[in-house]
Amino acid sequence: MTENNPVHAPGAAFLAAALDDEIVLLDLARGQLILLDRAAARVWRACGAAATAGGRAERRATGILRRLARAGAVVRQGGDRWVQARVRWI
Amino acid sequence: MGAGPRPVDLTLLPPLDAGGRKAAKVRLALGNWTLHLAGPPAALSAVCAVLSELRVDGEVPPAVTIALSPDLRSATGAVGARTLWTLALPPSGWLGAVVGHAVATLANVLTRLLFIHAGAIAAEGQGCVIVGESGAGKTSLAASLIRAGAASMADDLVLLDPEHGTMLPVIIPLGVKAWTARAAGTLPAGREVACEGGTRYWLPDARAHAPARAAMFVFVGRGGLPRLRPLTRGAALLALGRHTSSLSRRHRLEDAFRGFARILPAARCLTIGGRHPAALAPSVLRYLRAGVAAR
Repeated sequence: MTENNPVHAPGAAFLAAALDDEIVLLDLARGQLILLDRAAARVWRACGAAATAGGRAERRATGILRRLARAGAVVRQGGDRWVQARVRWI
Repeated sequence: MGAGPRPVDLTLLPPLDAGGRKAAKVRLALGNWTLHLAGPPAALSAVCAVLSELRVDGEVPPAVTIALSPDLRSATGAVGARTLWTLALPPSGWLGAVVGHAVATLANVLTRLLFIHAGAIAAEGQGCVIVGESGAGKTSLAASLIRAGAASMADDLVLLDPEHGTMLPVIIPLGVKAWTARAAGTLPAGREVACEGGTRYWLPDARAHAPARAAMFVFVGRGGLPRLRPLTRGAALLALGRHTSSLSRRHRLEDAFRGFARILPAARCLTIGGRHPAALAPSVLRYLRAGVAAR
């Protein structure tokens, strides 16, 4: 996951664009672009259904979720429940 | 590339007298964009020579007025009665500063077209945007590409039409600085229209007069291995966000994001490493033409 600005906050509204296997999020409040690589995009998409990370064997997924949360792209809802922040696809 | 219709309508108004120094006004009709200039005649002549081939199509930006002080030490830019900027001009390099601010003002008043501070060339209807920091080698790469058979599309300002996935010709002479000339070697066939502050303004004979498909984005970096490497489209969008473009204008942020995300899926994205990007011009042209063949 790559960002063009290290400002983080949860609960922001995003625009999302899928480009090949990657997703680029635009944090509308901060004017910040966030690139989700293939792995991060898969994890983030899974959060659209309020998925849990506990069932995932990969530590990588949890690490990605934590970074997504720092960027505000997902919100932790207690325990291992993660949900996407408000987003509009283009 | 044909010569096309002359896109400029110059109207010289009677000279004024400002504090004993002669001043003049010029109206430049640059396609859909009108630029009013006022200042010392010799300075206006140089500005007109550099901007006279510029043509804005695709939307109608508001007219901009740029006034140079009689002593050429300052300039102001305005839209209507609203002054947008005031600039202290250096004794050497004032022409580049004025042209740069004129072009930047155009970029800022656009509402539909997207812009990138970049250069561009086209070959066989396929356009290639060359993005990079100042001094990275954009102009020398563009000059080498033109010498190898491409047409000049833009230098400094690239305009993109997100609805049609095209880039529009924004013809401004190549700003050839000493290091650009060294990196590019021989300049492409063309003519020098102005020279000031150590910069030669070189207008190539091969110029695009019609939109081209936004087929390729090349990001010129500094250092690294001297080769072309593919860049994911997501990474390309992020890289555009780091450069001066419509994405860096708060009021354009959302529509710029949508527009670039709409253009990029049909484009090939590459990075160029090494200290002499111009040396890779043949490879860039090969990639661009391979895209033509694949379509």
